[in-house]
Amino acid sequence: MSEFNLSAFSDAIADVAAGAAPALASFVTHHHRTASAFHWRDGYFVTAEEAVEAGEEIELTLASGETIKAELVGRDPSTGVALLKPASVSGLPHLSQAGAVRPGNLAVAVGGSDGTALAVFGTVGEVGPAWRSMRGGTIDRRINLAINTGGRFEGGPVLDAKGGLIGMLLFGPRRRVLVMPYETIERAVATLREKGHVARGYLGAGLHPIRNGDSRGAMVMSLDDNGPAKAAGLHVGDIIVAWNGEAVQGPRELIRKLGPDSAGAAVTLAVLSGGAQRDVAITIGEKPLS
Amino acid sequence: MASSAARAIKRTEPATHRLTVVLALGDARRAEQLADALAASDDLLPTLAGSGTGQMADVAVVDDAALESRAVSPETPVVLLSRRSGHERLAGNVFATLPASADGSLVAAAARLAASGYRVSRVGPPEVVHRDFHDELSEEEALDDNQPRPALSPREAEVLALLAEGAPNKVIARRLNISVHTAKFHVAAILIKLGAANRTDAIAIAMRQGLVLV
Repeated sequence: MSEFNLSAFSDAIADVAAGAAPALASFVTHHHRTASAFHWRDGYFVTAEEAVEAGEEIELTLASGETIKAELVGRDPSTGVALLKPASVSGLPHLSQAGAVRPGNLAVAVGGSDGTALAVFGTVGEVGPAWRSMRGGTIDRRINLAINTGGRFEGGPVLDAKGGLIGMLLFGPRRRVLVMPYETIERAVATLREKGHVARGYLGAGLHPIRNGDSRGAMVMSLDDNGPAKAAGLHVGDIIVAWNGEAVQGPRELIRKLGPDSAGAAVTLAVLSGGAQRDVAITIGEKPLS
Repeated sequence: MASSAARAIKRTEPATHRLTVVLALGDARRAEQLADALAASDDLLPTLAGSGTGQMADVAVVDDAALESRAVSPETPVVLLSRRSGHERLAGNVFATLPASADGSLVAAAARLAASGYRVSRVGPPEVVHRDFHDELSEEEALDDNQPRPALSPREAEVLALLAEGAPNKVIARRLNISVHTAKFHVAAILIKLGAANRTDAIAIAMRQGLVLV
């Protein structure tokens, strides 16, 4: 116990933050605050998709204070990752992947704001299995942080005690701080570099939540004349109540199932119409996720 | 093998029951047009009032006069095509009220819902649901359920459709032949009307409310 040296501990945290600083950048969001980004590799930066305004020119301020124009290569709302490519950067370090993390492990969230380095530390609050995001993305691990951060940290790296990259800091529902894990970012980056977008499953139907007593579902409000739903024989007024035998409570749950991996899949929907339930075989279409 | 057998079984299942829809409208031309529109759906069987099949109807589509003269049995669910505005209160066997000029696909949808026992009403102010216990997901669906559907202007609806394709303001402006400034203005109005924090959020909300194709 007496071995513990508070100032050495303090310096160790500051050193972890300082080690990542050269890879950091920031930009001004549409709310006139700044958000963080960091160098992934090969001159590409990642940041939080929600912070990036579509089609606006992004000016990245690097750790050196230098400002450079960056192109938005693509965004993936299913994982919250946006990929940026500045005109020319060289010699930037990249952060290597952290080892396994456990609840209670120390975590350091770092970021940038107009060339100023930001850092805050706390612990990993929860490490859980893979989960599915609201927009149908498969997130490899559920990592929540017991860390109090502001919006300027959004899109910044989260590091372990050795300075390894656990993932990117994002805000979930109710501004809960969560980490998009390294391996999920890696997959999103690969797809965005290759195609510039991520696919989503497409039904070609406008849906509205509907409830009748205890039963719930998604009612078809409109149909794309050339869409998969119309081709499969769905009508306006039909109520989708299950996807491959799994109950669907409403549009929210259906959208969660229409993630990138659903495109092209053959699915059986259970549909209520005219008081009778029937099965509809449908091949899910594909659209760019935006 | 097993899966192809399952497919074969599915295919031999009888076709869905066709719903008999009786049309009782004073305007004979409108009645015929609607009958044609409904007959285009393979699950609906429209008949005109007075042709003798009225007793067997699953649902009736009537106008104000036919409703008052009790042309259809009080047991039959009714979709009322009303010329009166503010006729929102659904009473007795009137399960849905639509404007007199409602489009065929809308009438078909209302007829299917009424035949299944649903009452279709315009969205009013949101109600608060009190439930002691249910999981987070259905709680979220319940929240969506009680959201009034935001009323977007036709221009905003066009902008929203382009937003959902991932179009930036510059592209929206070019496609709709408006200035970038005006496009930004419309986007901002959409975010406010949907209560969205940003574009991504706006698209997600619009998808859940039936404003954007899923």
